[in-house]
Amino acid sequence: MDPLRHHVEQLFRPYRGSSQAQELREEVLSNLEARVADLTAGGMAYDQAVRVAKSNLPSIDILLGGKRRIRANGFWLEWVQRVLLYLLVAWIVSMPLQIVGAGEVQSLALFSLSLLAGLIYAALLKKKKTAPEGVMKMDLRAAIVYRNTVWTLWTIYMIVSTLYTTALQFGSSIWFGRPVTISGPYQFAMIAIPYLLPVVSIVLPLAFHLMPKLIMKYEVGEADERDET
Amino acid sequence: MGESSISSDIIRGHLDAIILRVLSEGDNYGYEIIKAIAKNSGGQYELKEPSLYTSLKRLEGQKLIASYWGDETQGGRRKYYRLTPEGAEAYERALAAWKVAKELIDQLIERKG
Repeated sequence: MDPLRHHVEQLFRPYRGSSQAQELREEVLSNLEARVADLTAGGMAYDQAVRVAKSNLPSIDILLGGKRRIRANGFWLEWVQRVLLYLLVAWIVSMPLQIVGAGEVQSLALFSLSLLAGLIYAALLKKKKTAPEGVMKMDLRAAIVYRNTVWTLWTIYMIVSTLYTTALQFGSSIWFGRPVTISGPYQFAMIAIPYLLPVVSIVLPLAFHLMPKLIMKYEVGEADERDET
Repeated sequence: MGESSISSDIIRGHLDAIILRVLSEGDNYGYEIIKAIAKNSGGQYELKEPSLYTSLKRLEGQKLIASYWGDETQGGRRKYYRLTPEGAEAYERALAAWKVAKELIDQLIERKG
């Protein structure tokens, strides 16, 4: 891939899925190409011209980030629906663990959250049928920053939790000189479960992960705005 | 800093009119608009790319300009802008308003000896 196209791809990476970004990407690329062609025609080396062109547009956040007008009903309905789905999957996955008497708290929490999300979803569905479509403003740039932050925090949590579990389970062989014995599938499960249980918390970063995508999906497009006026 | 930043602030306040002027001389695309402005300023002012896109988007939103894609045979497709009749009127209004303001600011700032 040529260096300019690569630069532009990188700039627009966070805004994949936005139709507005799609057009701007082509426009930005063709203007950068025109600048490079102009500079090289003036005698500048190609690599140097590419550097100059890139430095003219180091970021596009100011153009695409910021407040977006989005269709509120559709946005929240899909968000709650997807989160509900994640919660249900997490709950179902955590169910078999109860057979061996682990993860009751997590399972109960997931069940309650699913129930709550289900109720909210039903309420939103009812509202969608009766209330007119509202428009709200959301900050796309902020949503992307939140998404990345939550993923980072969750990764740290998973690392710490894994280390903690390891210290707890295998520490005995170090501190008390008693090796851990895995004599069968049950013992194996008893060791594996504490590792796997924290994974259900992936529901949280996934919920944040959805936000920027849905902001772009439910953004009030230029065509919609024409209808309004 | 100093003088040059003050004058670029003043210019920025009139960016829309400056771009309307360039387009009143014919349809054009982004990079050529930047070049035309640099040329009109005698090389003293260069419009930054982010400001260009912001201004073009605002002007298009106000329906003062319209855009269309060119059919280049080689290289990427270019997005051209043209002045709408409303844009032509807006340019004339901006020009008249600027002339009045320029006179007034001259009177207010310049000391007559």
